[in-house]
Amino acid sequence: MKKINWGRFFGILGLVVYGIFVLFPIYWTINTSFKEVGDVYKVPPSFVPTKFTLEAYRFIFQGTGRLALSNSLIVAIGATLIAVVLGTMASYAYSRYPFTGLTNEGAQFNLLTVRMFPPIAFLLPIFWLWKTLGLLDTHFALIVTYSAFNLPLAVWLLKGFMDSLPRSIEEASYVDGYSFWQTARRVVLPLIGSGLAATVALCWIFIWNEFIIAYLLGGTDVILYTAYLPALRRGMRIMWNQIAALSVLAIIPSVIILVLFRKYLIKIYLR
Amino acid sequence: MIKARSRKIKTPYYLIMPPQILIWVVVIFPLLWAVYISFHDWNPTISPQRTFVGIGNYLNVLRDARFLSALGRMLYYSGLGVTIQLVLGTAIALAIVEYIRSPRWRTTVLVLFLLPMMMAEAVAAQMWTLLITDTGTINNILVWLGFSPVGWRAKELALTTIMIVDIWQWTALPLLIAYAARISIPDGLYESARLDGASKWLILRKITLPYMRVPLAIAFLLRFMDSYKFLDKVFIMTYGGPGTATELPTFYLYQTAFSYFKVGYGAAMSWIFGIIAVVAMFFFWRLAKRMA
Amino acid sequence: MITVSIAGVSKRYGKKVALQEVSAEIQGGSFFCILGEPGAGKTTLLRIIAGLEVPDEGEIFFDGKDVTLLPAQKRDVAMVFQDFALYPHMTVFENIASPLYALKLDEEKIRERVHRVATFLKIEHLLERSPLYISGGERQRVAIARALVKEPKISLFDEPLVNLDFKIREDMRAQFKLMQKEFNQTIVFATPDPVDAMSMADRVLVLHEGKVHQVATVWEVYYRPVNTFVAAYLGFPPMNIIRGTLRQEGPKLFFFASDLRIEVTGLPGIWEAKGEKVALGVRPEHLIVGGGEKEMLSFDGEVLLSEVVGSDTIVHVRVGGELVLRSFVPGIYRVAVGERVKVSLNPGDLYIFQESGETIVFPRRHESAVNTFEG
Repeated sequence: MKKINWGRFFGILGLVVYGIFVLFPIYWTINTSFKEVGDVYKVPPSFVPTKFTLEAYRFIFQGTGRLALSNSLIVAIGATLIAVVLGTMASYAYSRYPFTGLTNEGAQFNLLTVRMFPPIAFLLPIFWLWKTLGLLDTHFALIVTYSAFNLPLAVWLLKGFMDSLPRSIEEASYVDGYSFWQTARRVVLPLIGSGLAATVALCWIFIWNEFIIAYLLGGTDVILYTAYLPALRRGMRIMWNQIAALSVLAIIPSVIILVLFRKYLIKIYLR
Repeated sequence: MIKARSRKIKTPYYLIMPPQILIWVVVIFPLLWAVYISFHDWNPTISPQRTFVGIGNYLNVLRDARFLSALGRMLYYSGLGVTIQLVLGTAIALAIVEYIRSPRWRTTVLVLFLLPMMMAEAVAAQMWTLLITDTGTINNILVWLGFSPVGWRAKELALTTIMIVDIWQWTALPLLIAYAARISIPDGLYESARLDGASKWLILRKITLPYMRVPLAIAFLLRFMDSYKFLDKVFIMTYGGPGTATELPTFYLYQTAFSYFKVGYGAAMSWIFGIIAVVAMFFFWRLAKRMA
Repeated sequence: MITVSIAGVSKRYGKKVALQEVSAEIQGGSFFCILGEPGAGKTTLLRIIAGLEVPDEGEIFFDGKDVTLLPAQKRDVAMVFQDFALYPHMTVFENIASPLYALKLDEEKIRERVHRVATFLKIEHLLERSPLYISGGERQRVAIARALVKEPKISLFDEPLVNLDFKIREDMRAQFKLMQKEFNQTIVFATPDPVDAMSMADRVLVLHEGKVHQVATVWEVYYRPVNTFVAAYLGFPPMNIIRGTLRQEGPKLFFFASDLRIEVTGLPGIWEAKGEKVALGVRPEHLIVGGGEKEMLSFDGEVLLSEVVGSDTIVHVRVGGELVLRSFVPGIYRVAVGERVKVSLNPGDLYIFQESGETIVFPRRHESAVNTFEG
């Protein structure tokens, strides 16, 4: 009996230690976001803001911070939409019409490549592409680039869902008298609904969290929040509380998604 | 009478067209251009001239000491970092399954432990920078407790520090996979083993781990694949420094292309690095398949 | 109610030939059965009629109009798939009403027709349920309802009875016939089970490896099969087919197989046989065990096995050395293994087949039956 107690004790202890390890930086960031600037560097450090203030958040909202966040939103929503819509079309076609020959294999292949190559390798030429077109620092360039990068992911995920939909149900719809587009609306889309949701969530997270593309292709007109963060570090005094505030704001969408999808997470990773 | 059976080849190209166009224009053509430019010497800040150098760039990359040491760092970082993530993640997952019985607590704990994974690397990097600067929080706490501060970003420790941050953020992935694998093992196996009187270690070795080999291999691949794309944390936390202490190949590539503007050279480097990455991937993929 | 003509339809999938020059006529209002083993091409043919596939060669005509290239949506056919293909995210009512929504009928009419069909198939209590939570038999009836409610030109059924329990299958056969009368449908029914064909169909198309072996009324296919394949396929238990040789002894012609020697001189058409090697066929229900009348041919045999199927018996008897014949005995017939019995048959029940399979000799005894039931 004693033996089990010790094992359990250390087990839970280990979990607690790891939990502290995981949560401390997050807690500290939230903590910092509510502090005054001077409070940040105090020794001994204040585990709770000495004076609770929203000045950091105010700064973020009034200034470029809001712009950065809204740019990120626009780009993330736009690119996710495009990637998922195009992904649905492509995955449907690949699932229902296994082409022989180059088209299918070639397509699968370039899907894989985009996944495996480091993005920085793509960025070099893509940067010059947009520069030549004079489209650096535009929403358009960012949205298009992100869509292209996430399309393979969307197709890969959605194809799995498409494959699990029996063709006979679509055919029944045709026999009933519905056209292709009507069938897509009535039958195909509703039945892969959960798959679509998962794909949207995943694509969104990747785009929202992305840094280097945002940094290189964005600029002064279009800043995404991930690129804005390091900008806050320039200057004499680093306004950590502002950085913290922005960080907190940035995490919120992802956390919401995590909480909403927590039951599905396991299923997705089992695939 | 048998007119064009065009209907048979009804494959809807209009469905494929837009996605393919997108990929070709934004990804494939630039890649091809990168190949082209990699055979030239071009630095737009110096002159718009492009001189053809054949495979000169490629050879230089392979001889580039800085590049090679960057690769070395990456191996240390990827190899060790990913391994720790796997081991730690698995251990935590098993601990959760073993010691936490109520499903509600389990979900809560999982959600909490998965938080780091959900945030941007850039954000995680910022969070940790605050903690590890010389006057940062961790040092403050150490001083307060009477210890001396640690140079987290000093030459010797910098890479390890970044690795720790990476572990902090990404252990969650192997954790999730290990957890999913663990709960898919039928309970019956454990019960009969316990009836037979097997010790905990034995159960672990003979039942748990074999079931998890494949998912863990996948986890390893995924993390490894991500690790060589790694850039954000280096960029934000140390900017490659001090000196080149934390310069990983991706960062060096960034410098070459966007700080020094040696575009042709950078293109060659990105291809070499990319190919190394893909080759390594296939190698590990085969390995994983053989294990399954 | 229309006439469907299938003209020289061929279909290939890569290297595999699914259908080869299939032709047939389906009369309006009739029950047409496509009979064949799994993989014979039944489903492919059905799908071509439905408009879900286009043949590589050949045409399909609806009342003389070429519909070969017309897509399924426009053909006004209904199809019941092997896996039923119900919409899992809609209620049973919506499933059945689906084709009516497509036709844009008004609500009242839709409700009326759905209820009529549902009541006929005894599923009106399921209308508000989800198709996921009803039994297989119920699901099938929903699929059938969806097909009927449309009152289409023709209804196509792909092996609908295959997934059902034995008992339900019997009931459904009766239902199908009733259904056809009630709703005045042209029905095309694909099945591997010859019993289905025998009990429900007006005409049968026997399909094997993509080729049509015979297209005729049920009786003709049963009593006058055109080759060994068709002969063996229709009938339970399958016809006994014995391979042997013909030899002339004097003015008489004999059939030899193992120790068996049967005079076949008088059989109509026997002298047209090409070559020596032939096969002799006799249906199990024409083999009498332990009894028989005087004009019959008899042999001695030894009982190998006696199995009771339903309320009848199939007796396996060894005759003439190594040949094993099956005899169908109505009722439960008690006989011990090893017992010696007399096996008799009427030479008028014999079939003779060419080595290549074609039938040379048909028993004339049943001509009248064929003629009575034809037309």
